[in-house]
Amino acid sequence: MEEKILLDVKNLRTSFFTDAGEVKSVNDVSFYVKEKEIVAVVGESGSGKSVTQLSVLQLIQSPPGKILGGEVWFEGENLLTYSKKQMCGIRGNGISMIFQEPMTSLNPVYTIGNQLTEVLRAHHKNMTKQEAWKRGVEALAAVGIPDPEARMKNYPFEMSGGMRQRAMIAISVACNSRLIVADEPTTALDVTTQAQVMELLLSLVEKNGTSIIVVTHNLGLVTRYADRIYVMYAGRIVESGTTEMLLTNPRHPYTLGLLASVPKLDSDKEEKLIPIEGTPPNLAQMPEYCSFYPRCPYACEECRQKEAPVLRPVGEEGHFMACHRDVKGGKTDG
Amino acid sequence: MGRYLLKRLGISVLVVFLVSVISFTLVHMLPGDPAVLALGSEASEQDVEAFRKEYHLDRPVAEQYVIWIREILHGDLGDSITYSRPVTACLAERLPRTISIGLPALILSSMFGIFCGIVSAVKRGKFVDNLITFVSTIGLGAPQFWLGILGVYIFGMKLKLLPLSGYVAPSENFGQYVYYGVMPILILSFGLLASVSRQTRSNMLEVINQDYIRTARANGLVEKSVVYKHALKNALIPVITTIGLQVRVVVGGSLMVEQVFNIAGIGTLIVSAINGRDYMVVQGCVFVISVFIVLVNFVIDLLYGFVDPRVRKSWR
Repeated sequence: MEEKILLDVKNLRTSFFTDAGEVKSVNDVSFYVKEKEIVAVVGESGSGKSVTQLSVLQLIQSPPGKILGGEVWFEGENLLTYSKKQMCGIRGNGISMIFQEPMTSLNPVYTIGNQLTEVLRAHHKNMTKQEAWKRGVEALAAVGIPDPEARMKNYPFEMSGGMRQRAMIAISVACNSRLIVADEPTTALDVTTQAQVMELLLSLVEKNGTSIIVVTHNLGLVTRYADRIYVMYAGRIVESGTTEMLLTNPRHPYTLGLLASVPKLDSDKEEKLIPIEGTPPNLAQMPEYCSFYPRCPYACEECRQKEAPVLRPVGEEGHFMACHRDVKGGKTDG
Repeated sequence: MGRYLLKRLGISVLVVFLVSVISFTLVHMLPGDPAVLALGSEASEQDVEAFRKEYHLDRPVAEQYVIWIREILHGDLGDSITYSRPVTACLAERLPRTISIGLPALILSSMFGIFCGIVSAVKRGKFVDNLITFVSTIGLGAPQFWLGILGVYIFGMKLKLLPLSGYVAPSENFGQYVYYGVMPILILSFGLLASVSRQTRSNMLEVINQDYIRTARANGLVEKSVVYKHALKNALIPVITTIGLQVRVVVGGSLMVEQVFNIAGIGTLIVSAINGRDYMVVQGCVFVISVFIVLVNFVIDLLYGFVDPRVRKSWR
């Protein structure tokens, strides 16, 4: 079955030019999202996973940030060649973004209805206020907010975190976005609300045919929902493949480490969580060799001498990883 | 909202009462006898006695206060000792002059200050920003009397563009009012303009980094809407407080500006009343000004609720 690719990012590079030097937050990152697909981008804080998504929408603050190169193909157009005005037409309309902090992501001095209809009318110049209001109410209902008519008149502070996150999602639903980028959408929510928000995103894929990118550090959360996973480390993708491949047959030492540090509730044995030793590297002073080398339990002298590894196919089709060695389920054979 | 307003109103009344006590006490603590000052040191014992009786100066201070307050409640601020006419009449004559200088200064500086602040924030680090920051620093640092004298020297004496001093009421001749008023108004507004602009700038820069601004951008809103709708309203909330507080500065500043430009407003009235120990005038002016300031603060509180829904909600 050939599915259409909705977003195709190629060799994206974004750096921040700080006093400490050039921080290569996104270093030659390529990924794609097919229609109706849920893709997860997983990594530690500072791995560049959020910056990658912000770069796609060109929301990097400049200065100090700068998109240095690459291509971002969305519905057949390279967004990096778009003008500022054209990008405004894409943001919130073609690609929507949902952020980590529902408590602060909505403007506190305007009602939900005001903010929702404003976005709608920004993208549909001919839409009347009444039409926008009606669409807004429908969108709130669609994301499962009870009494949407009344909620439209609420201010963000009058709603709970989960409600606000739903309202954020409602904005993208109202505009019929083809792709929703959810940056840590559930991190700030309590566990039951987390599941509800994820289920809601899932339902959008089924009902509206939306594609979703979930950016998270919570591997446990995405394994239940994502079709494919990209693992990012220090501004690079170090492993990618279907969720099943990564869970059953992880090949990169970092992925192994991530999996070992996720608590498993369904296991009957009491397993110890194994943290990944050390801290993420300083992106301003990246070594020539593999950036995971200092923390890698499988590192050998070869890793230090060779240049940083690039993604290469391993195992089944569609499974890629960037490691000089081949680590299978914790055992080395290379 | 009713309960909040009521509470707020109660506090305002209390403040006015306290100010009246303090101003009354302070005035009566001033050395010097108003009767002697008014009648001259040659006046006879009987004349002084009669004068004291007429103005209730022979009674204990506490009783004088009660008499004063009772008259205020009847809308009477007492009679001026030096002018031999009701204080209310003095105020009615002087107040419009002070307002005609102070109000334009307040409006001008608020509007222009906010504008400069926005420009400064949007063009952060550019030449315009540096220029505004430079001028604002002067505005914050330079004392008004010095600016006044400098203004008179440059525009009045050297360039001969503006009059040295004087005042014409706007109702009399608007052109002349502007001609005479422009320098005192500008000098009065300079300091306020500077602080409003500085505060607007720093608030804007803070707000621009908020998550909801990122959301607005991520939703495809154009930069104009992001800055002027989403950022500005949030940035202006603290500025309202500043402007409210600065009303005091304008009132205080008009005291000085009126002296420099020889405008017969409230400021000159108070200064001469203090020199002449005209108790009633000083008390009356201070009372009226304090009521005015309290009222302004009250309105500021209401405005706060008007722009910030969170404050509005806390009133319920």
